[in-house]
Amino acid sequence: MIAAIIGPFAEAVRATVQPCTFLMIVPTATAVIAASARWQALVAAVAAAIVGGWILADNEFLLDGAALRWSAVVVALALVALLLPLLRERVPIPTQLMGRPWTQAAIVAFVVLVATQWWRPCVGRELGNVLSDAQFDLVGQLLPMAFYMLGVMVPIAALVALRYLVEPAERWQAALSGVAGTVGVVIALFLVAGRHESVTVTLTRWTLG
Amino acid sequence: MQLPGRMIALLSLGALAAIIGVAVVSGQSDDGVLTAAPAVTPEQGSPPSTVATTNQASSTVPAVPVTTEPPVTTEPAVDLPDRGLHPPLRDIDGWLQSDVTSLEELRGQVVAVQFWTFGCSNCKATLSHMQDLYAKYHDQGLEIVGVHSPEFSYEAEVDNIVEAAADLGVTWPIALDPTKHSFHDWQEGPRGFWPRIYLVDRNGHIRYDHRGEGRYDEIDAAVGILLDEPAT
Repeated sequence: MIAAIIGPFAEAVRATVQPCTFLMIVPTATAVIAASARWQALVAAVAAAIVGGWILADNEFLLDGAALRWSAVVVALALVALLLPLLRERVPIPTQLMGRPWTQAAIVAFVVLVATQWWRPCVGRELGNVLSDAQFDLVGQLLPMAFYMLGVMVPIAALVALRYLVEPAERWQAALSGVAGTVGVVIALFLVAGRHESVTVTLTRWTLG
Repeated sequence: MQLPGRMIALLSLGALAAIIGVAVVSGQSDDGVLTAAPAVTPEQGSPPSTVATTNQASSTVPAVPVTTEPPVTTEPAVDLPDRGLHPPLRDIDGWLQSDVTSLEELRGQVVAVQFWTFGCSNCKATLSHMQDLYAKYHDQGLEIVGVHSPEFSYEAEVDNIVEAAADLGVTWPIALDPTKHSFHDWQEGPRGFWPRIYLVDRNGHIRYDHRGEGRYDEIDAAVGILLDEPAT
């Protein structure tokens, strides 16, 4: 039982540094940071990642082609919505609601849920076992799949923990959120343009130098 | 109020660092406790997929478990339900390292059909096992067909595939599937996975299927069983 959940978790942690995970983890990180890396955003991201992982294991749904592009449009808009509170002193828009932690967490959850469907995961032995068995016993694989997704989210959790540890000044926090959100929007726009491959290759180069 | 928050953050960060460390260390060895536990042990009996796969078998061909007695060796128990005739390889753009040009020409042999692409790290991780399998069973009637289904455009270049096959020690026949039509025809559901291995018996019926790395002992055992079965 323990091995059945620890194995997927450990494999997922290792997979977070592999290029095939970037298309899921980078948009997730940008959304969480754009939401000021609050714990509410982390909770929402983890929950959405687990649900997204279950959808992936079920293998009845795939965002591809036009659906992928439209989903990227919506994700870009969602990320812009996360950035609206940063503009509250300059733009006369109702940002009070958008600035609430749980509102932002809900937006993060949506972005993460979509990003998990953009994802083409590395299928190592643990995830391979989960996916192979999920064909015939999906319910039995929900727990190991959830732990796999928890493993994928470890770097995101580390980011949030770091934020609470450092407690950056508000203007630095705002700058970080702005940069992260903008990066997320750019990635989404690349996907809108049908440049899925370019995004993956670019993310790989950024990460592996 | 802030100090406990920072302490919690610090402790969380430490715990996450420890988790990452343990995960990385556990991945250093294929024999690690966390990753290399056999998928199926004799005590466990058949994997969940085995029982359920029987339910998925072709309605025209009854599923017939090949092994019903517990094994006396440490090799895993494996049932090989009949999943029906394999789909054809569609829109293949040529074969490399092969005298045959279709799976039908290999009827009478046991065939391991592996969907892979040379840029996929998990595919590459399976190749040493595939090489062992080929060395052990090729003379007994096993053929491996690597269906190369590229994920990225550079993986579709034939010269790159030839070079990668040489570098990676892939000596078995390679069918080129640049459109991924075969990749999607064989894999149910909208999402295909690399790598994925199917074992096809001497009659052309799919008897085993696994996504991703691993279950190497189970695959070895399945090949051995299928080679012992006569063609009908």
